[in-house]
Amino acid sequence: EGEAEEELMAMKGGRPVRHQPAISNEAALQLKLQQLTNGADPEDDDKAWLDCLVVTAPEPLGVEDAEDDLKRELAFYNQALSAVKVAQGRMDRLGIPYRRPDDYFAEMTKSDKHMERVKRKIIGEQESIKAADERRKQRTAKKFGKAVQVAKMQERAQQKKRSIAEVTNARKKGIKLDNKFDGFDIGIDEPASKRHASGSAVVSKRERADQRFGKKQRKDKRNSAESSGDMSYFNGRRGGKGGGKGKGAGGRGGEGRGRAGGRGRPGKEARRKARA
Amino acid sequence: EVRRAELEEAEAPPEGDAEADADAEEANNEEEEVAPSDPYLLADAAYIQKDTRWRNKQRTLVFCSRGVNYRFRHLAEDIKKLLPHHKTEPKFEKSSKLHEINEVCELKSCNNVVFFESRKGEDLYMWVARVPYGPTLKFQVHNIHTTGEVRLAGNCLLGSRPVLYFDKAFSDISYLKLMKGLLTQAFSTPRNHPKSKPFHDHMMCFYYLDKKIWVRHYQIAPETPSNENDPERQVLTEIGPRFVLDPIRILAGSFSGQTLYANAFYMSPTALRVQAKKLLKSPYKRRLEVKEERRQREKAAEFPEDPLDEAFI
Repeated sequence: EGEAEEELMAMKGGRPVRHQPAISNEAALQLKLQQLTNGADPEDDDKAWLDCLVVTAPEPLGVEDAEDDLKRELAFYNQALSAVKVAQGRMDRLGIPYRRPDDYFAEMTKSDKHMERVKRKIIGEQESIKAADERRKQRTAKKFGKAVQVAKMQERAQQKKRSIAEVTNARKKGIKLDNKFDGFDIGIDEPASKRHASGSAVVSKRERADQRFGKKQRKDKRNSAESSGDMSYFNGRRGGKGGGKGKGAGGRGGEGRGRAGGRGRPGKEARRKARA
Repeated sequence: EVRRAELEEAEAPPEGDAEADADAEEANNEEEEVAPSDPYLLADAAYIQKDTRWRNKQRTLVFCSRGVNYRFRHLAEDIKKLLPHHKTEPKFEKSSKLHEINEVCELKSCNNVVFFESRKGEDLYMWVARVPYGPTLKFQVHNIHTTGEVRLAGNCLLGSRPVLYFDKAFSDISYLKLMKGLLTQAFSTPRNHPKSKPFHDHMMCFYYLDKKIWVRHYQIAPETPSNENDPERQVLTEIGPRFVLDPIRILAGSFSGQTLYANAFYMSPTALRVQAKKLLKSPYKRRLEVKEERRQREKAAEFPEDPLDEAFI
């Protein structure tokens, strides 16, 4: 009992703490046990064992630190597993069925609804782990892919620069590089023209429109002598901009229609008649 | 075999022909007149048959005191689910004396009792007793995890008899032997109890670690369906509840009598609170103590003087 007291003091950091004094009446405990179980050990006799199904461990637990959750639970699990073997072996010997057949349906401790929640949680955990892995993989792959792409672009730029440098070099020095540009029929000595020669078949859409409808002469925005003296704007309108507000709406509309579109381009009817 | 043949005929799918339908109907009508007496073949089903009567009549009364919070109440409910041989009572008034529990048990004709007493709404004490003359165990319950927690994924048949498992310490230490005896009687379902189910697919484990009793409840399942009969290939999944019992006292009688055992290592919640308050109450005293400890430590860490230090200057 003195040892217990010392150990207690040591545990509490040497500060005296109110606790109950240790009592252990060995003889009385033995007597009580005798009265309780009638002196019979339930594990010896098979019939008695069937009444209570008790298994005792042959070896101690062997866990030093009770706070280390993983080790402790693992030790619990392993001990219980060995007990299962013992119990099931004994039940096999006595001919007791212990496993539930697949067609035996009865009420379980936890409801089906609860087991659904458990299942969902487990699946959710697995999926979140998988998703995290996927994300990590994507991130690294993207970084890697980006690096590769950048390298490729740089390589291409370098290649382009080199080839242009070779061509200009060759042109300067007058070396023919037929062996390099085998597939191409480019005459390197002749300058490639930027503009189309007149009468060339390929005409851009813009040029064709200009030829057809005339290049639009937009009014010059600068306030120069030419722009302020530009009276073409006036000729097509009668009464000017602000004149026919009240009266000349119909007339202006008619006049406008008469001189519409382009420089006196005849209307649809006139064009049709001209064609026919 | 004759019965089986009849069953197969009855179950055979009807043919598409009209004439055949008529024939089948006639055959069915004949079947109904001469119905087999045992359509589910219960006579052959060995696992449903009960070989002996219920002789070991243990009845455990499980109830709580007033003032339990949700967690303690759920723990009591879980214990009730585990014990098909339980009886229950409404909440026990705190003003009543504990020995009145004996009378309650007598009324309900129970011979074991598991009583959950809650103090201050935060501490739970569990009393396990054998009612007429037997010993009483008092524990404090820590670290309660109930069956409703989704992390505990196992499931078992409601009312099946559990396998009880005790650590080696329960066969060595005297007071633990008594605890083992009483816990066995209170927690193990008696054989052939009317509410019990036939198979054994779960186990309750009691371990002794750090001077406390750790209680775990596992489901026994085969690894794969093909391994069902192989005792080597079983997997344990934890069902609830899980808790830790801190032994306080063993009394000789039922809620009365001489103390047979008192745990010296038990710190009551009050004592813990007193200690905590003392530590936090006067910081000046604490600082002095710390200074003293530092002085002691420095003194202990001093090196003795080495004569060789002065050899080379």
